[in-house]
Amino acid sequence: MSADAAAPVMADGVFRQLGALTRQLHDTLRELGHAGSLQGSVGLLPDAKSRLEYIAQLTGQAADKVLGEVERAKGAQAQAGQALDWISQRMALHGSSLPPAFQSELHEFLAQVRQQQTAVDASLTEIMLAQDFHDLTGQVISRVVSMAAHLEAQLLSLLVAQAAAAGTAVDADAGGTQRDAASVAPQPAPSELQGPVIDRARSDVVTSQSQVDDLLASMGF
Amino acid sequence: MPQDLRFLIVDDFSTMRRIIRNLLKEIGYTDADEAEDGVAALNKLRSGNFNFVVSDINMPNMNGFQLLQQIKADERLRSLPVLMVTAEARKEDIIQAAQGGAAGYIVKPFTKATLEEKVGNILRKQAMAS
Repeated sequence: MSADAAAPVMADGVFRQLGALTRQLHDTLRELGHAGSLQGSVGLLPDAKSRLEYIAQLTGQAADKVLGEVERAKGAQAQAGQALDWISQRMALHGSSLPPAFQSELHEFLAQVRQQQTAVDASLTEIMLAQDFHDLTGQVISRVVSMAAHLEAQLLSLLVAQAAAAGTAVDADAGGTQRDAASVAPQPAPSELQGPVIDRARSDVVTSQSQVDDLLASMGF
Repeated sequence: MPQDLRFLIVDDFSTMRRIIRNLLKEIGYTDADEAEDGVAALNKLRSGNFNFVVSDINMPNMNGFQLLQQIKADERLRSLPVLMVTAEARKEDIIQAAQGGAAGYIVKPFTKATLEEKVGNILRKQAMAS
């Protein structure tokens, strides 16, 4: 027998096996009385999604609020810097008329304030950068929400098939919305893009900017 | 001293766009606009005079790879440097970006120093090439 002729026979066997497995799963669910609890679990998934979306919304609002405050504080810092510049210029022009000891103290004071101002500005930049948690956690939440939607659709398909076999209707929603097989739209496959790395032990990812630079350099970029 | 350049920041998270915009301002680049995905970015790029694109990869409607492809396929835009700033850390994604013509690749989370260094390197290379 040629390979082409054997292919449909093999596919037929696989389908028969899949059919038997599905039937077995349906029968087991019915016998164990799990169809009802599975239906309840499907109903919980939209709630889980909305809770995750709520977290994303609140963290976004918090990050925006912090960024607003940082921008205002940086503005005030910039104005304070301009005031320091003005005082320094005045000192350069007229400082010599002041008592020498006072001149020295004033120079020292101005230098200290400028140093503190630079340090505060650097801290504000770090606080601003730390708000990237909203983007990074938001991407992870979005991925989990997408996975929950996919899982919900798969479980619903299973329930609809089980209900059809048993001749009963499926109440797939905790809110009581009736769904049938036609309402179970195929879900898009999760994005191939992975988002932030959770498992840093993976060998197919980089864990630092220097690894990115090394990889690109090794390729001649 | 930074030149007077116009940046387009492309990211679906407004927080990240705001952070990058503020960082560019601190580095010395004050002229920046924003787009929330590749489609909005292309529209802005085709109607405005931009000198530099800083783009995320994982975005709805048109992702960063598709945006890069569109930019490189457009005769008027292909010389624009595109710096990827993304959470995508797989080696295959970094390689795909480089082979697609990205001028640089930064993995989130990143620092101000990294952004300053990469933007500076890209502009120096561009100046040497022209």
